[in-house]
Amino acid sequence: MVDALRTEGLVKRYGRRRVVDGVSLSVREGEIYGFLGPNGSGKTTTIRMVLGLIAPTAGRAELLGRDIAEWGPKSREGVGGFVETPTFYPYMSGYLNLRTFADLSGGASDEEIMEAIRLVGLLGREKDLVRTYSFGMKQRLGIAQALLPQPRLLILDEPSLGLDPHGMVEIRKVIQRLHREKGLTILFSTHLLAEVQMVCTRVGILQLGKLLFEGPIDQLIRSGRVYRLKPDRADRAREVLSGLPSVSAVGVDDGFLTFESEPDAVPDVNRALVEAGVRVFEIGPGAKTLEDVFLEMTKDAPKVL
Amino acid sequence: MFFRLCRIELGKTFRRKDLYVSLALVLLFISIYSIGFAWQSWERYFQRQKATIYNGLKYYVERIEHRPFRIEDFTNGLFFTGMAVAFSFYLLMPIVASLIGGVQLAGEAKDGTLRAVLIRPVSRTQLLLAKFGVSVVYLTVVIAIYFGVTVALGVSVFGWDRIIAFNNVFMQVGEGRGAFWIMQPDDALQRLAMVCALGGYSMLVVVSLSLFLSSIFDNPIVPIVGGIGIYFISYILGQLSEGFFEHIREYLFTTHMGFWRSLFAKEIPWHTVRTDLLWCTGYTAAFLLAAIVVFRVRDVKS
Repeated sequence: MVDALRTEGLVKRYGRRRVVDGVSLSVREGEIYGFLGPNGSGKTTTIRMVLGLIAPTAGRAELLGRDIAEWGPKSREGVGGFVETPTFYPYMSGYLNLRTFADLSGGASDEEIMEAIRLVGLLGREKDLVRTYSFGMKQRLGIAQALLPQPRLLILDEPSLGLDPHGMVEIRKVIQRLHREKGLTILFSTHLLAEVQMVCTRVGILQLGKLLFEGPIDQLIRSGRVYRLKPDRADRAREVLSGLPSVSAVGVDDGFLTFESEPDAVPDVNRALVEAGVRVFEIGPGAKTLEDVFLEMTKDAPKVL
Repeated sequence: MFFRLCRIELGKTFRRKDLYVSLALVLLFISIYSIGFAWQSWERYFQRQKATIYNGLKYYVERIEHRPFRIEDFTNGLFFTGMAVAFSFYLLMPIVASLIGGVQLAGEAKDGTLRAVLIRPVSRTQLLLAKFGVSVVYLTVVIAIYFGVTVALGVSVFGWDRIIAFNNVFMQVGEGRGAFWIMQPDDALQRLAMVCALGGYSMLVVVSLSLFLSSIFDNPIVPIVGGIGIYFISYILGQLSEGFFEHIREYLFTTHMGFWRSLFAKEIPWHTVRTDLLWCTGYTAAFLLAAIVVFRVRDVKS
C-alpha cells in the first residue's frame, strides 16, 4: 500500500539553525495521524515543506505517491488542508470562498460545496460574508475548503487552535465524521493530547526538529511500562524495588508506589517483595496517559511562551 | 488552468474594495481639476506664461483666418482632457499602477490567503502571470473610465472645439520651444484616445516593477511605496542633464515612458514611438521575469 504522505530525511535550515532535522515520517492511507510537538518543534515548517510553501534544504517528500520536487504543484492534487489558521477573502461569502478555492483545484459542483458546508455545520450561513464569521466558524470553513474538491488526504495544522472547549469538540467530531463517512486519510498537528488520544490511530512526536517517535498510540503508551503497587510497608517495598535490576524509576504517586519494568518481570517483582516480608495488596499497570509520555519525551525542549 | 486562474483573480480584484481607491483617486483628481480649470483665467495665463504662443495664435486667427480671437475658444473640453491626461500620466497614473501591482501578491501574503492559494495545485508562475494580466485589465478599466469621464465632463462643461498643442506639455519632439499648432476636434479626440492607450501601456513598467517588489515583501505598503519611489527617483534622475546623468538617462525606464507625448506632434514620429514602446516592453518583461524567478523560489512563511 502506498503511503498517503511520506517524508525522508526532510531538513529545513535557516542560517545555521536546523528547524527541521531529518524528519522521516509516513502516514498510511485511511488513518488519522496526530502530529505532536511543543511550540517551535518544527511541525508547521514540516507541513509547509510538504505542501510546497517552503523549499526543503534537504530530503524528499511524497504526497499520495508523488514526489513533491518532481511533480511540483501537481503533487498536491487530491490533497486538502490548511496551514496555521485558515484564511479567507473577507469580502466574499463563505460559499464564494469555497467556490474560489475549489476552482483552484479543478472546480467542484454546487452539490459538493453544499455537502462540505453541511459536513462542517455551516448550513444557513454560507451566503454571509466571511468577515461576519466567528473564529470557530472560520476554522470549520477551513475544513470545508480543505474538503473541496474531494481530497484523499487532509493536512490540518492546529485545527482546534484558539477554539473554546465546545468548538474543540465540534472540530473533533467533524474530523471523526470525515474519517468515518469519507474514509479520508487525515494528518493533523495539535497540542491537545487528549484529542489525539481520542481521535488518532498513529502519532508522530517532534522535538527540536527531530522525530522522536512514530507509531500507534497504544505502543507509545505501552512503551512507558509503568506499574503501580499498594504495599503494607512503603519504605521497605521501595528499598526492595530499588535493589532489583529489572526495575527502574521507582516513585510515589497518589499513595501508590510506581515503577517501570518489562511486563515479564512483574511476577518476579511481586515474589521478591513477598519474600522480603512485604504484603502486596494490589499490583497492576500504571495509568500512563499520552500526556505523561509526551511531557517525558519532550521535557528537554526549550519553553516557548 | 491559466485562464481559470485569470478568471478567479479577476473576480477577486473587482471585489476588493481597496482597489477602488485608485479609481476614487482619479475621479477625485478630475473633480478638483475641473474646478481649477473653470476658475483659471486662461487669458491671463497665456499672456503671462505662454506669451509667444498667445501672440502667435492671435496673429494666426485674426490675420490668416480673419476671425475674432478669443482664447476661450481654445481652452475647451478637449483642451481640458489633454491637460488632465498629460499631468495624470506623469504623476497620477504611476501611483495607480503601483497600487494595483503592489497589492497583488503582498496583499494576499499579508492577509494569509497566499498560502491558502499556494497549497492548492497551482503553478506559481501561472499565478503571477494571471495577477499581472488582471492588473493590466484593471488598469485599462481605470484609464478607460478616467478618459470617458474627463471627455464627458470636459465637453459638457467647457465645450467642443479646436485645441492648441504646445511644447513641454503636449508635444515632445520635432517642435521648438514655444511652437504650437492647432488640432481639429475629431483629430484631437482620436489622439487623446491614443495617448491614453499608449500612456496606459507605458504604465505596465510600473505595474510589473511593483509586482516584482510585491513578490518579495509580505506587506503591500512596501511594494506600493517602493514602486512609486523608484518611479520618481528615475524620473528626477532623468531630468538631470549634466555629466554622469547624461550617460545613464538612456537606461532609465522613465526616459522611455513619456513617448505618448509624441502623439501630440503635428507629424507623429512613429520611429520614436516604436523605439520607446520596445524599451517599455523590455522593462516590463525584465521586471516580470525577475518577479517570476523570485516568486518561484520564495519561501511563503506569512
